[in-house]
Amino acid sequence: MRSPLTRRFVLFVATAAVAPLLIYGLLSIGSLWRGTRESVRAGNLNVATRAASQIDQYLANAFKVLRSLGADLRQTRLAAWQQDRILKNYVLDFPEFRELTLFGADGSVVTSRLGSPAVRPPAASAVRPEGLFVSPLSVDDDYLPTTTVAVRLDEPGGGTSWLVGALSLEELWRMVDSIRIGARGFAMLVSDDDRLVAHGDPDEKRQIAQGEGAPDPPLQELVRDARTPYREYRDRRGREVLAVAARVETLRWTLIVEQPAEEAYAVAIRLQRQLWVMIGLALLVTIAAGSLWSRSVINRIFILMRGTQAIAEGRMQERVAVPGRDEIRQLGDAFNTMADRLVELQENVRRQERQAMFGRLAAGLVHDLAHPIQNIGNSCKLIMRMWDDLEYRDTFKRTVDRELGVIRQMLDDLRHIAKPATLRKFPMDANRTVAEVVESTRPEAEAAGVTLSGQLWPTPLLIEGEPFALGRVCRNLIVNAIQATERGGLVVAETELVGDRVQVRVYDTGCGIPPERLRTIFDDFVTTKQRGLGLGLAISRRIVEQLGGSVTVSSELGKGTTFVLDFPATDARTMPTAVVAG
Amino acid sequence: MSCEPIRRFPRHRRPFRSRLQLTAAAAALGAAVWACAESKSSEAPADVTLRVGLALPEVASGAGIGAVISALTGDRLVGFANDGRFEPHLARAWTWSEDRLSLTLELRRDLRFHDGSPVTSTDVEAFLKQSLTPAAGPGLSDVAAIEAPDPLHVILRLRRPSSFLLEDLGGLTVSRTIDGGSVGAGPYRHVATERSEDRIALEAFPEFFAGRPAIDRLEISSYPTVRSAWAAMLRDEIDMLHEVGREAVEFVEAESAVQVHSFPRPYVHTLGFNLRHPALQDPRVRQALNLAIDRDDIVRRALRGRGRVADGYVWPHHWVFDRSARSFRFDPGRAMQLLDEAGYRLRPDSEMSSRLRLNCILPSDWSPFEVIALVVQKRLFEIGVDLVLEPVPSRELGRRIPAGEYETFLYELVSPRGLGFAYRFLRSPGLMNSGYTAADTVLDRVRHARSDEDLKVAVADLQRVLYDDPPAVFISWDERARAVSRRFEVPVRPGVDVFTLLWQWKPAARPAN
Repeated sequence: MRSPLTRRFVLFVATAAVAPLLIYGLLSIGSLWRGTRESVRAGNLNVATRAASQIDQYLANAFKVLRSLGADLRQTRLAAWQQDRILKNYVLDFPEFRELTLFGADGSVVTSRLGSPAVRPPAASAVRPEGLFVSPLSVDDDYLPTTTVAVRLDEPGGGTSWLVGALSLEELWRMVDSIRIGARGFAMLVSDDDRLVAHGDPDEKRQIAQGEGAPDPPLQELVRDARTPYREYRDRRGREVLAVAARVETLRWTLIVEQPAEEAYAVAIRLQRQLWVMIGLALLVTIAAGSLWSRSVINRIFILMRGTQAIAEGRMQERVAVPGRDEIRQLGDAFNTMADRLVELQENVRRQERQAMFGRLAAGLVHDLAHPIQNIGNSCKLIMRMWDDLEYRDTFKRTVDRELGVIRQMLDDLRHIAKPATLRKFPMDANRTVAEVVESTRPEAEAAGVTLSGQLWPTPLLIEGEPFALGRVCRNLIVNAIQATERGGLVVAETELVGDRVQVRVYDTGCGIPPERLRTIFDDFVTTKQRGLGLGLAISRRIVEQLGGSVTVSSELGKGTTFVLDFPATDARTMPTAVVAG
Repeated sequence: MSCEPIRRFPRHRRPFRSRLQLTAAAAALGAAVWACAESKSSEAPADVTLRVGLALPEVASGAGIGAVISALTGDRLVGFANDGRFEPHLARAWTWSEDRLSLTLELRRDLRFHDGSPVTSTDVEAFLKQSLTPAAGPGLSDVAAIEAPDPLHVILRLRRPSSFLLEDLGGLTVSRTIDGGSVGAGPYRHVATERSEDRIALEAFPEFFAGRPAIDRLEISSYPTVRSAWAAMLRDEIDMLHEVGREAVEFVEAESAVQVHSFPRPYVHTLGFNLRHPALQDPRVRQALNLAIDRDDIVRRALRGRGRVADGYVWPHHWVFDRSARSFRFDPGRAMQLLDEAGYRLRPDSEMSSRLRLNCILPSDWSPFEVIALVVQKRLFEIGVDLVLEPVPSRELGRRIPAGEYETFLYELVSPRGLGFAYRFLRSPGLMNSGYTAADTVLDRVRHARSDEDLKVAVADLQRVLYDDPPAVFISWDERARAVSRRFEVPVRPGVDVFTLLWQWKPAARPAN
């Protein structure tokens, strides 16, 4: 699947280069076809008109021959044998006449070709004013169409004789056969009563003997109505054909010249094909060039995109290598500069954070260690003076042990942050641990004037855990609550079974925590107190999560804070001991 | 194989006499096997049918439909090659005795007549004895005895040597007479004649010696003119046009669905002279008439180039033909000079200012002769000879010529690639009955030649005599064309009429559209 950018580039190339070419091609081809059609139709019509004129001329010549023969025969003092000889000479010289017969004024045969004539003088009503006669098309003894022509010969002494000839169909066929357009363009001659008289296509001549008319309906329309002297249609053989028609006025017949469109428009078809090929080639070249050009742009944009994604994914060392010398190359360089600067800024931030943390850590250590060390120091001074006071020596010992415990606790916290201890989980009673912690911290609560209450679930609450670790968490939460609660306040540690969950809640009526601090309250080195490293809650959360539980906090300023520890309840008999790495 | 539907044939306005002739010819051939044929005809139609259209005007010559049917249903002992030599047919070989007085024919084995009976030497002997009639020909008339020593051999013993014997045997179609009819041994046998339709049906003879023809059935129809037969082919009513008219050849040839095969036809267009006419008794007059006629012009105008100028009556492709022999060339000046020498000068006071007036009979029902006659008339008129044309029906022509009732005639004389018909026509009294005797001696030498060399010398002498003392104007050799649908595959041999090879035709592998 191409990227949207690539698709847009393709669309751009198509719109900018392909569409104009296509439009140009379509317009050119349309113009070419219009021009060619008109030209070919006019050319073919010209041929048909000339051919029709030739056939007219052929008939006119037939009349001339008859008139000339008539003139020769009417010479005075010609003997019958002389008339006979003249007529027979005409027969030999003009093979277009199948028969020639001279009829006398009384209708008798004066002379004929040979044998008994098959023609007769025409009826007076059918003769044209100029003394010519052309018979309608008829079918002869051989079932072939034929026509008879005659000229009237006025005798010097009055009366009318007739010279009658039967036109040879074969001679007419030869004339029509000679009319060709291209290699497959033929002519056909159709009589006014829609009978095929001649067909230039040798394979179609049988239609004449079969007494058929124009072979296709469009041609029959041409015969009936020559006002639009051309038709384009699909013929019986399924070919697209162009036909034009011209009238043979003498006979009122129609000459049709028919040519397959494929041949008639061969030039246009060839030009169209060439034009399409050229357009196709131009398109290919345009698309290839556009593709190469767009690839050089798009590929570099993709390089920039991949660099950006790498930075976004934290791979700050990634840089882009954009080829070229244009603005995209400059953009790539700017990107690299920006990435370098970003790394630099990030290092600065980290350095500053380290420095701040170190400062906080050092200050916390100094602050937190100062008190125990001070107490130990004071106790040491007093022990020298009160060495003999046995009671004080016990007090000294308890004080030193307590302060050393505080220091040890502080160092444990630091070590736990650096390297969390491995916890071995086993089924334990959360109620019991909470109760022990409440009892151990009660003196501290009493010293602070705070009421510490333990409200425990009436039955044991078994969880997968480690009593010391859970005790540490609870102690931390209870001590923090005592420290956050004013004298007379209340701190409650309670346990409850909620469905299949065991919850330990520690809440107080202290000052509460501002909302902006709640989000980071479990982070390392975050504290709301004047003393301490701010590691207690961070360690507590890690321990709870190591034990498979979770810790949440809610607080309201001036009213108090609630911490909720949530663990899955367990069945002590089925749960195996598990080791959880910190 | 496709089954061609039998189409209805158009009814023609034919004379009753023609119909009678057609029916009689077919009836003579088919009467004996009629019962058998009837049972055959009731069978399912044959797979491959060839519809043949014959254009047969009422000519009296052997070109009638009877001859055509006979050629298809019968076979001969020997056949003719185009050069006048002989080819085996029913006789597979023949041998002359040293004295040329005995000819032994060896028949093929397993020959059968159409009734299934074997063709034996006894049958041939009987047939030949039956054929020994005065009209049988000069060769057979020399036969003294015929013997059949065994079933495969027939011996003909002659009174005198005869170079025409094999030629005459080649003109006979062997048949056996049974019950007043006859059966042949040719590739096709008669099935039925439809009188009303002028159509004769033949079917392939499965036991023909050369194998069963691939075309199962022939339907032969006759038409009154060449042109009407051509029109029938245009209408696709027939698959073969037996004769294509000269006017139509170029159109038929151009048709892609049709193949046209032309061949030289052994007929010579002849202006025959009756020497009983006083003027024609003088050889100079006959020479003058020969010189006055432009044969090339006739071949060009009347035959439309489909023919050959004739140098005489001897078949020009014959192996004995002497190409060095003199022949007449168009020379009207010399012709008039000869007429002057013979005393026939122009007579200005005569009706036509002519030297001589001659009547000429010619067939009125055979159009090719019309143009030839007009051209001949025109040429003779140019030297002052008035040729009066008298078209007569072919039947009358056939009667008047042998009877000598003519001054001149224009017709075609057959010369079936041999020499026997030259003898028959020219040896007095001869079929022309013209009173011509100048070639009698040399014709007898031709007839009784004892060797090929003798024959060659005699024929050369004959050609010389026919030039010096011509009995006729031999104008042109005819050429004929057969048109066949491309649905059929036709074997072609140079100079041979494809119709005579019809038994070898077969349906085209890929029928033409």
